[in-house]
Amino acid sequence: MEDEIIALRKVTKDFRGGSGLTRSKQSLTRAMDKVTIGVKRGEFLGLVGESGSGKTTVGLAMLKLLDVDSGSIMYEGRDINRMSRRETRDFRMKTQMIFQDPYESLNPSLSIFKTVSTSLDVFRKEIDEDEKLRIVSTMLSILGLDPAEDFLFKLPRQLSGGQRQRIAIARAMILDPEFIVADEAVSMLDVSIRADILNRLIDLKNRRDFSMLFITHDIAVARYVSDRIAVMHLGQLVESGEGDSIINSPLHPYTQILINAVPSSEDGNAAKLIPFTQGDWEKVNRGYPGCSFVDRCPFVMDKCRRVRPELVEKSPGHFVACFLYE
Amino acid sequence: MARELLMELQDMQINYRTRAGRINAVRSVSMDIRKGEIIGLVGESGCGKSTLAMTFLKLIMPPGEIVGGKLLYYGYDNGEGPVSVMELQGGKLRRYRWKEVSMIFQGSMNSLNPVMRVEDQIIDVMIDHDFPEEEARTNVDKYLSMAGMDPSTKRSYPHQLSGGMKQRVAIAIALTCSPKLIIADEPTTALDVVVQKQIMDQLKGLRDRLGVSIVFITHDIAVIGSLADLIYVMYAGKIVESGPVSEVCNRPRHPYTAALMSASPTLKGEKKRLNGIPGSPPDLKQTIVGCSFAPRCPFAFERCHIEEPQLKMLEPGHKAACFKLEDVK
Repeated sequence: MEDEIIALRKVTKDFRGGSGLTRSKQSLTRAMDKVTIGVKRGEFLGLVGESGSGKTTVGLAMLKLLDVDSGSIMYEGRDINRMSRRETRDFRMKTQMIFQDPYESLNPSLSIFKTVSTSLDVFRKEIDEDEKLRIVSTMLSILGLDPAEDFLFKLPRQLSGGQRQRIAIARAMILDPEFIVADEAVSMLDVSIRADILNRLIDLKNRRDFSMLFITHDIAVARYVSDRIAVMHLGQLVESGEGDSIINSPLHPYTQILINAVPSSEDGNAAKLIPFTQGDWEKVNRGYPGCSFVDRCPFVMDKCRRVRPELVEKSPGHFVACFLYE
Repeated sequence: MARELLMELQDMQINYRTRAGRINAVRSVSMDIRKGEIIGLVGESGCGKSTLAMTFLKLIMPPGEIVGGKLLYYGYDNGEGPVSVMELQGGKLRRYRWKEVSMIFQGSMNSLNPVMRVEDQIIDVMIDHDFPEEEARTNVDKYLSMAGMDPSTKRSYPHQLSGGMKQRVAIAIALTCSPKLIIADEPTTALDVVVQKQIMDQLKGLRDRLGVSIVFITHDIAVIGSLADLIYVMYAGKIVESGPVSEVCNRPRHPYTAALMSASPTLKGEKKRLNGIPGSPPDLKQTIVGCSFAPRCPFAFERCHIEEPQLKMLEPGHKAACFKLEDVK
């Protein structure tokens, strides 16, 4: 699609790992299995799924932080794996990442000012120190670190987790990127701080025009920040569509179970959409011909084990990969 | 129907002595735990909820120090009245831990011994609590199934299990000596929603079947809404609101509880803008004057900064500590 800023087309990535010194013991994990997904210009796309579903791998692939085995990744119509050095440099400047753990993603020996301004040093050499100070201070204030002077020359260890994550976001935003991957950016924070950071991200989006892949395991958070939501299960994209459409009328059995499992403080549980699969939810199987969900699906049919369902557009903009909807 | 009292925490005060000063982690907390009751203890990082959890098993170690308060245990049916947990020593304390009260630790997946098989870890706990080895061995399967695990996994080492399975092993270990109370400190925090729901259903099932009481500690009030009978909301080392879950969640009275409720995104209803809570919790090294939440409270008035509000009964069983509520009456 032309309005997509970044798009994965049938991208597959295997990780070889496992214990054992001999090759026979090595295992193969298919983190992305022919994933086709795109982020539209100016859009927040929420990517949800459980741990190990390949969400982070998608994020890393979009930013060219990972080599994929097959498929193509297009950024503004250019294949990111065929870019010249100069184009790659430009790509690096326009794309950024926010990591999950603000205790690990900040260099403990760099001041906050240095942390946030390093990419200015690399890409915007023309800016002098005073101007840099001004730009960094403004960004810190936008993210709620006010007054910025109190933070500029502190070290990460002097800040709380929430403050550190604001620094990590400031660092990602400082070059005015076009596309950001936020990988579980708020999942380690307390609810009260999480709400404020989510609001600031939404406000920033309205002020500066950028797109974001928002990776989260929390579908309620995804609903709050995202325009569209995509659901992954064991390396496969199983459903995508407008946020409301996914939440209010989930099609794929996995999406239904995910939504069903969200705890609610409201009295009484919501009407059960489908029975919660008993059996061994954690026994997983991947990399075989059928649907990734067969071991857990209450509606599994013979066909599901043999053939992989393709994503089909069930209603305008709402895609699902499941034979129940053929 | 009033259930029988199992544990009574009175006016508990716990400090940590650090080089930077004394941290008042728990400032006068009282709590009643009744048989077969699930209590949700909610609060943000650093509010003292884990310190409080440790107290139930007398696990507060230096630099932590209990400076006041009582913990009375009513679970021994010997007609001699309650036992003061703080005075338990030696073998009595060892038997109290796990046979009376057990715990599922925060990050349980990391609390398992990496070089012991699952079954040996379960047997180890039982032998330590005077069960003959044979009996312990035959009961492994029972406890694993109670925790929702396939008994065939008992031969596994922790690294061969997923996070949710390790959590279940931790639950199985907590069940080994048939305790009357289980303290669960953030038992689902690192888990996926689906696994989280299964574990919570499991805990609820244990309560229904075995009548065990559970104190479930979490930072996310939404998590326990569907599980707990009673909720205690903790802020800066104090309980600011407590009551039946339906009351506290549907009609939160303390501004902090209300703020927590409106800070979590929901799946139902209209997409409303969330309200974060401005500022950060107070430094517990300082003496707090007035209400600890006042600096962040949208309704704070003069009195809140001078005087500390006490917990007041609003309706039967529902208490909150806020001057605003007194004025209304």
